[in-house]
Amino acid sequence: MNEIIAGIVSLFVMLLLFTTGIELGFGMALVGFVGFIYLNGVHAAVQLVARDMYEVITNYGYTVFPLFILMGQIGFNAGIAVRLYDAANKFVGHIPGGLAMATVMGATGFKAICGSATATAATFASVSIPEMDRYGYDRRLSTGIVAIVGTLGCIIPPSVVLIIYGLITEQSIGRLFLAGIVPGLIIATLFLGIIYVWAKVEPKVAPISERSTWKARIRTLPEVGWILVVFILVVGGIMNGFFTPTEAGGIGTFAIILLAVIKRGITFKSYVKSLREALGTAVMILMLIMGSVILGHFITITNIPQQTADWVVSLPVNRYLVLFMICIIYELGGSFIDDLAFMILATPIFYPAILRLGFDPIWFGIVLGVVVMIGVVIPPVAVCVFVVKNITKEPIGRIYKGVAPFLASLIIVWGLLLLFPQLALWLPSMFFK
Amino acid sequence: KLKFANYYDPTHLNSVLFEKYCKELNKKLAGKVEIMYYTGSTLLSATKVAAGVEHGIADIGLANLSYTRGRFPAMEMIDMPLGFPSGYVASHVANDFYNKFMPKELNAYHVFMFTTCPPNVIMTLKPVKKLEDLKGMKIRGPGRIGDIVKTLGATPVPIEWGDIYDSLRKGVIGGTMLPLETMKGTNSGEILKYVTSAWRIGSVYTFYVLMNKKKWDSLPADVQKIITDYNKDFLEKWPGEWNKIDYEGLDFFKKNGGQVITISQAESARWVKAVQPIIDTYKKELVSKGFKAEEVDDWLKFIRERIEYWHGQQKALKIPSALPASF
Amino acid sequence: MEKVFNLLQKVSTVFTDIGGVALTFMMCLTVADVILRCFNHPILGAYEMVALSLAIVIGFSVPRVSIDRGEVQMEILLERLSPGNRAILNTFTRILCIGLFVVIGYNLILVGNEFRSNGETSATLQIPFFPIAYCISVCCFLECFVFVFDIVKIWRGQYE
Ligand code: NA
Ligand code: NA
Repeated sequence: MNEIIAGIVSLFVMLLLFTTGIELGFGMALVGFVGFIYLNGVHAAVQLVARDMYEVITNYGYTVFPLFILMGQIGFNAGIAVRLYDAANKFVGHIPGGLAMATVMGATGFKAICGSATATAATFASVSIPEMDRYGYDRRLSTGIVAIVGTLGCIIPPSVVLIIYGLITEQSIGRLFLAGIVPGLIIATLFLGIIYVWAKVEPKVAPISERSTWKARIRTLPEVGWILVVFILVVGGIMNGFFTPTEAGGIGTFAIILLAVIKRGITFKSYVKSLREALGTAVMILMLIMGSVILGHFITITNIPQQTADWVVSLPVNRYLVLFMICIIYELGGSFIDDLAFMILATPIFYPAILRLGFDPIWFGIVLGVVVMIGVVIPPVAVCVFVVKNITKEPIGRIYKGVAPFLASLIIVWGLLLLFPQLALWLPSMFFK
Repeated sequence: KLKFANYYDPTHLNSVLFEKYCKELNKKLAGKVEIMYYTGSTLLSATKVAAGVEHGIADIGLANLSYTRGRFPAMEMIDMPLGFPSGYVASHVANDFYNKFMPKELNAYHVFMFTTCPPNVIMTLKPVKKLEDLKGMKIRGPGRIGDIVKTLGATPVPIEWGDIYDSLRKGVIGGTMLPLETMKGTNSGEILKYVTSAWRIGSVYTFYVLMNKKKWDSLPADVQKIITDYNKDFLEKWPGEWNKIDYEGLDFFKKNGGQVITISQAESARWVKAVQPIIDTYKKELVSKGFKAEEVDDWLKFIRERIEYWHGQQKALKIPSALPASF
Repeated sequence: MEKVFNLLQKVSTVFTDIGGVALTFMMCLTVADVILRCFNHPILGAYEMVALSLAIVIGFSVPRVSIDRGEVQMEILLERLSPGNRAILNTFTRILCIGLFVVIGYNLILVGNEFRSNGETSATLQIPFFPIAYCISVCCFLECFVFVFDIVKIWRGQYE
């Protein structure tokens, strides 16, 4: 059997293995290990798995995961999301669809410190849905917006998706962060627009709630201000070279802790809770990466990435069509495996081809971010929707009716990104040369 | 089929050069053996190359000694600030050193070749004319370079490679200690203003190209011969390439208004004296690892002789060198 | 049996908390390094210390996360099987995982031995690598115990 066939066979075996319910990371590691034995002998293979394990969990770059995840977890446990939502509510609650808009604004603000889509969906499902229920909002709108709003974290910094992409492709995480801001804000604005139009067309969906006084509004401002300060500290510090994106994780977490301590939003107990939760997510991601590193080393010696790149470049079609196909593969793959896991798995295979086709790697990172945003809400594996379903007990079909218009706007932004790469690249080009 | 692992990014000179190396060697081998080339850490990352080749994860590997500090103690002598005037000289000295002493730390490998980067020099925003000028200056220097920076009186900062340009621009660091070549490689030549030519304390990073010994022994004699002959040719070319890009770096720096400061013989002697403790400390470390002090002194003497010899060759063959032969 | 399982759970929790302490240390070290850098006194080798702490942060937390079933899995096929077949399939995957982690754990000892005899250290602070390799190895073996207990739980019907 030649290397390439061995590689393709083992990728199929791996998909089969995944269906047995094995941890995806461990499944990748096993297939990589056995494949390496087949092509390179037992001694090399056992050395490879041990050294890859050692290297992944002593890699400076990966320290960014536990740090940024801890930052979001503390923000979550310290009740920052709730207060952001309240603040937004005071300002826009009274306009048509205002409570849903406040959810988008609160979540966008919260995303500035938290990279996890599921954590956001969970928070807002338990905070803003009851509020919307109280004013008689249609469950389609309230569950739909909450299910999709968490995905904003895929491209608004500090996004875990972009960090993973940056580490896999050795692209600057700082640049990726900046590149994600404009598309992220466009999507948030589109969400707001859709809510407004929907509430105007079908007023029953979103009954108007009461208007707050300016006094009450101004009192909420410091809350928003604090988060803005932390966000500017993190992103601004990276842009100005005061610290690296990796260090920014430590700085941001520290700032959030300080903020929480000052506001008495955190106790030692909730800090320990945050630590344990953050470690859970960080271990999950790093074990996926560990598996994909081992698998990746096997795939490398099968020469599949090289051959894929050669083949893709030689295709007699427009390069955008190739890019489109690659995005579809991510979408399909992410539908059956976890989207993040699939991105970790597939990027090393397709990335060389993307480079050879002459696409900008930073821009492709943002495109992938939007692809993952779409992926995490479309079935069968749609974590955010499941979270909302579990909390609200609303049938999946009904939630999807609410998700649909917002999903359409994600697809539109994805198309816009393909047409106008500047949407992503303009901001980083202002700050880096 | 043989797997050649190189940790450098595909666009770096070292990757491009060895891509050519593999292509030409494959032509000469005419299908008897094929070398598959993997760059950019796709197979082995920098810290894993040595172990990976020893254990057969790859068959051939390229990396430098600083990534496995302690693994090749005798060869690491070449990383000491012994006064290398150019990459050409240091590369030849490294190979002579290996051929003469055959350190047993390399027993698991068949050595293809050693080469070194051009010597590290102090490049700064403010002029450094004497040792005292370095006091309190923040100079980028991880690992051994950091030790050297420290004994010279400056503060070492281990900024990552990709952050050099921005750190200089924002004044997070006041300079670097790297080969001149990096002026262009990182664009830092646009910002840096001064280079202090103190080649008498010139130190290098020593690169190796190693092959798994067992695998090598399993190759047919004719294949071994083709590879060995080709390595010899290549070794003549590579060090010259280093000199060339070092020269280009200097050129780039000068075009951007940079200035080279030459120091006097007396000042140079002070620098040499300042870094002596590093060499002494390393000698102690080697002795504690079971080497004899006389043995180490022999090495040092040999290295110094070979530097003289190859410096002479460089001049005689009119090989251009970026550093002026001042003190 | 119950006692042994409780002990395993306790040890894993203590390990996670060690990981949490290491994560806190990592954060404080980074903040201190960035601040001191502004005053011209960066902490020498901060990167290395942070990188090596990651081994503690992640390695020590792996067993606990497995006990809590915190890894990403697919359950499409599993959901459709009868409980008996599910138990067989789950046992099968646990055995595969035990195999994987025994291989990794055992070879990390060998890698550690190699680091020790070569005297390999980090570049700036010259922190020896071998204790870290041994630590990760211990975590891998603890993870194996978690899988062994998974099998026990599967056949007692307590796994899901
Ligand atoms: Na985010
Ligand atoms: Na999906």
